[in-house]
Amino acid sequence: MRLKSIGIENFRNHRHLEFDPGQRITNIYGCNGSGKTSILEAIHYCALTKGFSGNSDRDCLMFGEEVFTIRSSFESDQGSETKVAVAYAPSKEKRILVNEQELQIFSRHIGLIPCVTFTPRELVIITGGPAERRRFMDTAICQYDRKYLSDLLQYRRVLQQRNALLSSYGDLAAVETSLEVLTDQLVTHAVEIVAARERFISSFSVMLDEVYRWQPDCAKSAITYHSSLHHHETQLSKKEMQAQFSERYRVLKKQELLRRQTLAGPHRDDLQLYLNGREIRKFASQGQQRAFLVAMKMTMHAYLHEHSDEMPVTLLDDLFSELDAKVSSVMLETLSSKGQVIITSTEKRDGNDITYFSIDEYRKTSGQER
Amino acid sequence: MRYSSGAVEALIEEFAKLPGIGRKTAQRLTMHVLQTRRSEVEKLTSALIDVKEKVIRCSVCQNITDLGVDPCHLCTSTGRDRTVICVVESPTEVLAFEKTGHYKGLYHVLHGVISPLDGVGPDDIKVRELLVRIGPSVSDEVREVVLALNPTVEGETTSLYISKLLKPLGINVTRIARGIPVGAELEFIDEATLSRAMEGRSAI
Ligand SMILES: [Zn+2]
Repeated sequence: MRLKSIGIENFRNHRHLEFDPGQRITNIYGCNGSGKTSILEAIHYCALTKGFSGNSDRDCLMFGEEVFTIRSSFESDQGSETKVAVAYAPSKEKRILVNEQELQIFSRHIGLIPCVTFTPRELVIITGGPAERRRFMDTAICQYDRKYLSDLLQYRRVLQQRNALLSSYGDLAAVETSLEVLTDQLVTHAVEIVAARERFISSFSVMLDEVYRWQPDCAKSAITYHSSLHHHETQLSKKEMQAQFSERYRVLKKQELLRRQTLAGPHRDDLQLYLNGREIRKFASQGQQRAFLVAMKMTMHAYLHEHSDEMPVTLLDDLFSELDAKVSSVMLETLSSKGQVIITSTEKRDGNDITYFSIDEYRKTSGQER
Repeated sequence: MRYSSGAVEALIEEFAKLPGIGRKTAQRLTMHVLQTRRSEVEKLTSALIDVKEKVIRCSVCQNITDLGVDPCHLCTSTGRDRTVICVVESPTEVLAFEKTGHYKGLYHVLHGVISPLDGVGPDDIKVRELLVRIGPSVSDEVREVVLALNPTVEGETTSLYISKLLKPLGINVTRIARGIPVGAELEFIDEATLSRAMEGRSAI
């Protein structure tokens, strides 16, 4: 998949901006605060229906304006065109149109335009809490497995209902059957989610180790998936999982009733990241952690490339300020050989076959002085 | 813009409260009422009041019926298969099944689904009334209960809940198939529906 053009209005600090990236690498450059990242964020909206890590729709609306719009045109690897338009006004729901057809369910759009991001903020995948690593995993799997997204959304809903029941019950006897039913539902979706995550991580880990080989320290890397519902090394059938998860909730029941919340499940799972057999969050230098994240992102790119019909679009935000020259150029070289890469920087980057886009010049020629 | 008449304004506001009616439509309806003969308007107001005064819930199936017609026509009809009860969320769904003309059994309207988030438990919907229809003291011999709730998480919770209560009674509990709409092309069906349809496949 390749972005052909994008036009944005009242989005973050852009009143109006039109942008046509190149085939391979496109370098958007401009001083800090000029709105480079916002362009990537707009592209992210078109691919995955929302902004970067945690920014809300309202955050993206230009101050004092009533509506932002994004209009984009993508070209598939086979050459067919997909038009995506996003419009948001706080007074209404967000609207997304694909080829002029309004999307009723946003989740159906995920996966159509595979997209890999790298932003400095994402180092929290390595250093932050389990939620960050779950988000990484879910974003990856959702893009090639639609059933997963549906299970995830339903799991979350069941979890909310179950927690509501646990937190509000008065007489246990009166809610016993409801709790049993909600536990069964939770287990049904949990089995699907855990199985998909196990499948993903086991092959992802192998790919990661291969990708990591170019790193100077020639280290051995690994990722393991830790489920809060079972600790089995061996692959279980879904039926066995179902029995095991149900048993786990039976054991936890007393505690859950006491603490009035669901204490285990995919919403409590985590990944463990290892470098040379040691947990990277605790034992690696910051440089090693960054390099590890780069390797994870490159692996994700390769993985999505292998598991979806389209080559992913890669969005790299401020890559060069965070990584040493060698690592960043290897990353850029590798990714751009398999799809479109759009990268931001403060200074213009030298290189072959790069399309440049200067925000400052754009503003001058389009008559919008800042 | 606002109208110079307080009464007109008030009616617009009332219309605008109705589902699917925006302010523009509410204005159009109000203008229409304003130009209609008094006798016609009176018919409308009495119809509105009648709905509140004369419509009750059938004491058997809980579907809506008129005052004095309890049990309802469906429950007393001799042409229906009294061994099957189809359980639905609201009267709208009864209407939908009746339109098909194919289902000949009885109904039971729950008036909601279990949702702890909204403070709705099994006792807040008509589950107990369903059990009463099936218990050993009842003359009608119900053999099958068909669950026809919406495919939401809450609909599923309610279906599983009811089936947990009914199965020990030796009742055959079934649910309507969830899957591909008739006339749809397989390639346009979303993955979740398609895999569910695959799981629920049947022999031919
Ligand atoms: Zn009735």
